[in-house]
Amino acid sequence: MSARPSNANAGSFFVAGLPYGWLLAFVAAPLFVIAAISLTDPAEGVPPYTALVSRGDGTWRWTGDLDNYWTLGGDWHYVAAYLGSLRVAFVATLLTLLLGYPMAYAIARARREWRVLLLTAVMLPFWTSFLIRVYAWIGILNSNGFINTALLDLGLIEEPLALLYTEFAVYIGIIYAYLPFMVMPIFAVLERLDRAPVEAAMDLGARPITAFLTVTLPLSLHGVLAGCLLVFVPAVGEFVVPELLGGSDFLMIGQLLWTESFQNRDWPLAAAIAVALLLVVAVPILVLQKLSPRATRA
Amino acid sequence: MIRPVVAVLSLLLALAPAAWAQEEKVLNVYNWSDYIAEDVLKRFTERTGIKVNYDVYDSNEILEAKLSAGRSGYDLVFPTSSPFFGRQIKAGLYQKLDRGKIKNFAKVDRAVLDRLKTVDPENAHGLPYMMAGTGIGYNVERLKALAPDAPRDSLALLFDRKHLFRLKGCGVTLLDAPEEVLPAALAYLGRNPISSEAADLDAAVDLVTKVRPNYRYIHSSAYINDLANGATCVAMGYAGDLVQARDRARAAKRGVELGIFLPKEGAAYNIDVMAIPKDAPHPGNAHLFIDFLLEPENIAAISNVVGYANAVGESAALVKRELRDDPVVYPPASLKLYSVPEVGKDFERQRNRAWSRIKAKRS
Amino acid sequence: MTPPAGVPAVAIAGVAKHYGDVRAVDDVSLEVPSGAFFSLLGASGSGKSTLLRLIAGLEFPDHGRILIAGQDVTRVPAYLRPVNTVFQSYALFPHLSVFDNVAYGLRREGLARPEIEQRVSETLRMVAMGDFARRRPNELSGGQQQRVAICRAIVKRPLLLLLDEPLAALDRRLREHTRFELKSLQDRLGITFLMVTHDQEEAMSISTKLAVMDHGRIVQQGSPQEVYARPRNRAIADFIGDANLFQVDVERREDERTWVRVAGGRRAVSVTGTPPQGDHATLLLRPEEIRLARDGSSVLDGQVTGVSFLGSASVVMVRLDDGRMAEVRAQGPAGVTAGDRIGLTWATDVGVLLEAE
Repeated sequence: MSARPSNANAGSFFVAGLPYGWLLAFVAAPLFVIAAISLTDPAEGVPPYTALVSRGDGTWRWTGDLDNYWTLGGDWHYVAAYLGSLRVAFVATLLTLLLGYPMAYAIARARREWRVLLLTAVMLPFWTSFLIRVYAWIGILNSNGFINTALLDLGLIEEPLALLYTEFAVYIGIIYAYLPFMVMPIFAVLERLDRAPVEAAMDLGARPITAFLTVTLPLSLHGVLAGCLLVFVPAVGEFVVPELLGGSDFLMIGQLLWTESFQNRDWPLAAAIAVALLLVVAVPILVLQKLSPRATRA
Repeated sequence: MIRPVVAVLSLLLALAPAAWAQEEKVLNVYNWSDYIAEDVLKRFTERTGIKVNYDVYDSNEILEAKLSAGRSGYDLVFPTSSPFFGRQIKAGLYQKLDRGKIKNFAKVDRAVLDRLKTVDPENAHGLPYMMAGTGIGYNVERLKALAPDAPRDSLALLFDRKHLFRLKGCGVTLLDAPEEVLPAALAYLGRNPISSEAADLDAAVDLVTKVRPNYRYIHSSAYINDLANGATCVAMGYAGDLVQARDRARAAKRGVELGIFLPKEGAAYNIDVMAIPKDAPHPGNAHLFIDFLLEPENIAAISNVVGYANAVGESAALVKRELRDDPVVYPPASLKLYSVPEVGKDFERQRNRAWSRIKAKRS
Repeated sequence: MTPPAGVPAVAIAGVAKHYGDVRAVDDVSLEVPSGAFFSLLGASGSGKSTLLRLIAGLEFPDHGRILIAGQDVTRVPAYLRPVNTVFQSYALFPHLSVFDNVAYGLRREGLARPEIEQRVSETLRMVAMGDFARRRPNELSGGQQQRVAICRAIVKRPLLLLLDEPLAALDRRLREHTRFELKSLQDRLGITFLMVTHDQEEAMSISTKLAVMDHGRIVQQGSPQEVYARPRNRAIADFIGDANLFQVDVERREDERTWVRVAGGRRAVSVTGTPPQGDHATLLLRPEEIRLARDGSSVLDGQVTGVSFLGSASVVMVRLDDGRMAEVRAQGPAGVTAGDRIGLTWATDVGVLLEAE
């Protein structure tokens, strides 16, 4: 560190450091602030929490503690919300996969000129606001929305089905909102997938479905994993969808976080919920990364 | 609702001049959505040359979070008096009003000011803007058909199992607000609705839990449309929203007629207050605006548009007759009105907790 | 499932396959005798790979019929045909071990585990890959991958083994070695091999029979010797082996031979066989058929421009007096150097007459 770096070095250091600087400023720093708040206690005033270190008798004193985390861990109310969120995210991810994989497969197998069109169709919803798209489902699932009106008019049902404000509606919302995040990575893998091993499988006596299950699917697994993560992670912390479409049956952790920070004005506990959520989500990611078959490259 | 709680207007704050006289001609207003008459804003700008930046929110919690974070950049906000405004004063979020700058202060209804004193003892931090109760809306025809003997003036319509049993299929809904529903349950039980006794909380929770399976849903805005187009039959709701539902039902002309009442057992009555945040960049302009709004023709114009009562007595002659004569908007003096006061943090958390449990319990 | 004696392993009748306007395979008829090592030889784009895929069942023809061991399989999907393929670049399953790759086809047959293990190990040992059973394909060299690909196909004991450019991805030395391995493997297994290749040397050296394809058609078939010695046209002559092509005028026709005069030649020479129509023709002479002549008995004269000594033979490049080039292959050292004047001659009745240009 004694020698001054040359200009060229400084330049490359700057370029290489830019993404890290970005991550530091916009990911690490806010996380650090949230983590710090999670160690404080709520207070009346601006900001509405106590300082992490306080000055008394001319010395600095550390006043942070882990009480908020003990509260979270020791209270079934919160644990149940975490478990419920994980369950909803898991089921929603699975359903998104079941829907998204065939879509990705069909697009990857479509003729080139169709492919662009189909991909655009998948991405198209992103051109409008997330909130508006979720709102649109209220109009569709309502007791006098499209679905119920159509079913009633066809005489298939006599009374409107309760679709909106149910867990079913939450799944619809999450699947709809995150489907492109499932389709895109799987498509990217399938599109590049060599057709030859599949033909080899059929040549060796595998029916098309067997060839798919034993060759195509395993070879596209890393795309599936990427898609599942892209859906699962935001779904666990999802707030908008359960808030707008979900019923009052159960709360997802994102809603609980909202309640703590806005209704109970307990920012420190809300911060602790956020940090714990991060841990809850980070663990499966690490596990999946370990499981991810690095040796299989298409 | 998803607005990030980040103060982006800190730049304005940095530029804020020390003396009012030198304030730039800008006013940043943060009000409830659909809660102003556009031409009033226009007239204010014409008269004073002050440009109004008008931003809206739709929950007290959002407003509170923004002010708590500090440096919101807003000059004038409209918190609900109780419990929000009260506890926000204690948290030091507001500055004292300079009464000398508000000539129209004398026109504000004494009785309303007195009621505000429970949260702001000297009326030092805020003046009343609009007021409304929490009531019950019902589908007149369906109710006649399904439960002809059910009362049209009582909380029994919401909490009595005998009525709920018959109305269940048609759809009964509650507000998703424990501070509204639980006091109403206490009023129905004949207890003190603004009690913060644990025993009362338990009693209220107990009642609502027992009848919970009879409610179609618990939601704070869905009922407006559902009631208006006949999808539900009985809804607890904010008077302003219920009036809106009634208007929509009439406009739709599909034969849905809505009745609205404030319950005889007592109704929650909320005052939305005009207040200036402590770090407001243009407090002088904010005072000018408050004074302007309190002019009878201005406040009456707003009442006529939004359908809420105001606290300026002289404006009564200028308010639409149908509004002035509506006991839901201007409740008779005989009706018991209450404001839910600020409660302790622990009590509040318990209440919210109990509420999530109630919501989670379905048939 | 051995076909009855005399029934060809594959019989193709009038098969065509079009992709839009492109006729990849254009009215091809072909018989591959049982037990043959048959090569489909052609440049890229000649349709040979498409024909192979039609036989494998990976594509279906627009017209015509395909019979395997006498059975019509024209519409039978790949997974039901008694045919297996060694794919170009092998198409091994990257996510499976060598053992599982080879076992894949047997598992599809639903064989019992001990039998699968026994047959896989046996087959892997046959190509000296027994020690690599647990490896993944990407941990193997190109040659090893190729052997796994062959194992995977022959472990199924097909009636017919299709090989799509099996040696193309190997380096030259390995390629020559593997050629003989393939040949001996076929001898041991007794399976009919049908190989697609663009490498005439490869086709010549191991095939018992070959067919040359061009523009979706089969232009000539026969034993390698026949096709080499009597190519049907200039394109085949050029494609199979090195060729000197001379323009000639037909001077006199006899019963079994034709007298022709090479352009710029000193005298007429005789060629066996029926000449094409017309007064002009092209004479094909293989480099090893031409001799260097210094005694004035030459037919053509020219100047040596280069000599490459290959050990057992030398290749001499000669610029003829009319400016065209000729190639001569001599046994051992050629005894000439660049710049020497030299004459070219050849034995009576040597060469093949083809259509004129």
